[in-house]
Amino acid sequence: MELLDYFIIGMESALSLSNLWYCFLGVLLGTLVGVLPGIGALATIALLLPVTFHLDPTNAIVMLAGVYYGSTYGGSTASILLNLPGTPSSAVACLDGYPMAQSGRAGVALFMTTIASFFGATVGIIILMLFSPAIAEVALKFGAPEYFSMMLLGLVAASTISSGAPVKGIAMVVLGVLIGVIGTDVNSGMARFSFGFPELTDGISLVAIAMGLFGIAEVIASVNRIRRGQVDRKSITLRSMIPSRDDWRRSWMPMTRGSAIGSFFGALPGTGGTIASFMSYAVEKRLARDPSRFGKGAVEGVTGPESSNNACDQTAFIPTLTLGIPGTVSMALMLGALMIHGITPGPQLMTEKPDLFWGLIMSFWIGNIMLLVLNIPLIGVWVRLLAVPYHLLYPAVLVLVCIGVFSINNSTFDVWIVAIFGAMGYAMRLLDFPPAPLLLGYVLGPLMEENVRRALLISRGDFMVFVERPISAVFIGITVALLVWAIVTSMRRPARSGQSALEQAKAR
Amino acid sequence: MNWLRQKDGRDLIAGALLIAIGMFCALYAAHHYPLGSVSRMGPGMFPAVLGYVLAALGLLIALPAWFRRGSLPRPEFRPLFFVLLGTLVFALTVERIGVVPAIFLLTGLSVLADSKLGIIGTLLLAAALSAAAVLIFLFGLGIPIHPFVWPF
Repeated sequence: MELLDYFIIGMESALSLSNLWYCFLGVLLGTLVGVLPGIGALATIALLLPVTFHLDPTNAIVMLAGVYYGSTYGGSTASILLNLPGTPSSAVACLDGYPMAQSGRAGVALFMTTIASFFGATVGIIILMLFSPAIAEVALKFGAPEYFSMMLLGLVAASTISSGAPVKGIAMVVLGVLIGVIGTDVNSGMARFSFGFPELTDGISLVAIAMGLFGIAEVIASVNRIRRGQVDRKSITLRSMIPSRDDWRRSWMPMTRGSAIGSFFGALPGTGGTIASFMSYAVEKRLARDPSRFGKGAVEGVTGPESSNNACDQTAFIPTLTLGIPGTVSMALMLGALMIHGITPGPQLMTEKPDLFWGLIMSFWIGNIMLLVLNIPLIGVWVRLLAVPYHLLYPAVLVLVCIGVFSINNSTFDVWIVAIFGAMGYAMRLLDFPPAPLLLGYVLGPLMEENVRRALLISRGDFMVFVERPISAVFIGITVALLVWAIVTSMRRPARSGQSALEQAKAR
Repeated sequence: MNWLRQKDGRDLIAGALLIAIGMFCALYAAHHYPLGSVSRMGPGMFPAVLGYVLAALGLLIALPAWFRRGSLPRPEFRPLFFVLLGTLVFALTVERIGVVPAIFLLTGLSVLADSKLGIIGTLLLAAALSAAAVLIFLFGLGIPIHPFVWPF
């Protein structure tokens, strides 16, 4: 069987000593930044990008992926103990996890979220293994028009579905694509928007943008916001983590449904773990025999969403690896890491670099097992970490950002860029502009320009080429429908982002 | 600024900024780079079209905001100022005086953003961060950074 061959190729690569080590490093760092509110997987991946220049590409991507899914495991810890989400996608875990902790069941909540995360991730990996080859096969037939339409759909979906204000999301995509234009045009060799700075002819570095938007801006916004609560360390013992038979019985079906929901939303470009976990919570509440238990410490309100966002993390690799289209910003950064090593993700990746492709997927199994060990017996370590106050943490983040960016090219110019994007990111927060679509636009912009120019060159300037080819026509059709919906909703209600809606809901 | 309170000031500012950036990009691209034709696009075509699209989106955000009430954003100037100042001072000094003094300056300025840490605490933190940075980047990763540079 073909799948078995892939399995063996992947395991050989994933079980090599160096991959095991970088996988461990990745999930360890991921759990760490997931646990700590105020530093996310995104900023960490951006920080690690310069480090990965010096690594073998498989090692690099295995480590970055570990940070990505590891942070989702850790994210729920702060939600449960402090009512403060460590990562956006674990915000839902506050709703029932914190009440559980208050009624003395913090240990059970932490144990069950880890089990739910592992369960969700397992389902996600299986779906990733089963569907990737088929999708890559279809994608091999894609030409320039299909690629352009698909990227357009991905960007429009990312900006309209995931944030509450579709028009603002789309505007950020366009701005991101424009920022991606900066630098030398590959077709004519002309330097665009360089304004006389020789450094700008190479374009703006992805790392500098990501660190500015997600590192510096996050610090500025968090300094006065994050308060450390008191954590009762002694209450979390291994004995207190043992769930009752009732907990298992209640969680089984929500975990299965959550994994299905998460797998679906992960594979869709543009929707991430935050949406997947909210969906799962809504579904469980609707299906529950007694919905009034929700919000008061219902275990299924924690396990369902938690398996959902972990399944989502794994299936998010489907569009990224098979089509070369990142669905989330973290995925865009990982694509960036591969491209730095001269590897273009896309349908040919699976056949040209099977050891990287299947090695990465197999490393997910290993990483998730490591996370199980890191999160259950070692939970006490992470709980203790929550006691580190933010006023010690944020200068450390700033130092890491500055040194990290400076060390890439030994260039202070990049540090200036970080500061500029930090200020811009903070302004965007104030005006309710989501930063994620901007970064997606920046990464996909140059690819889109290349494909639209190629498509129109072949069709001699006829725009019908995008709707005459059936696959491309379907993509364009969905895109247009999304855009119409976005414009209609924006005329009706104020353009508030989903993030601030959530904050308002919590403040009440 | 008072009249802004009667409208949705946040979205009016947001829309106006997008219109300004969009028009600037469109006009700059159209004037400085050849547009070419649709079948053979020049380097100016793509950014020019996008600039107009961005301006149109800005209009779409600003117009409805004119007809409804909303709130103005409330920036927190203190963290904004000190975090950015710290970053810029780091950029200006790191090549002249070296990584370790630059980290001390960055740490010292950034703790002023919330001033919960005293002088001794700040110095200890800066020392720990400098040691970690040199250990990780210079010795761990072998990236040639200079811990100290004698400026004279």
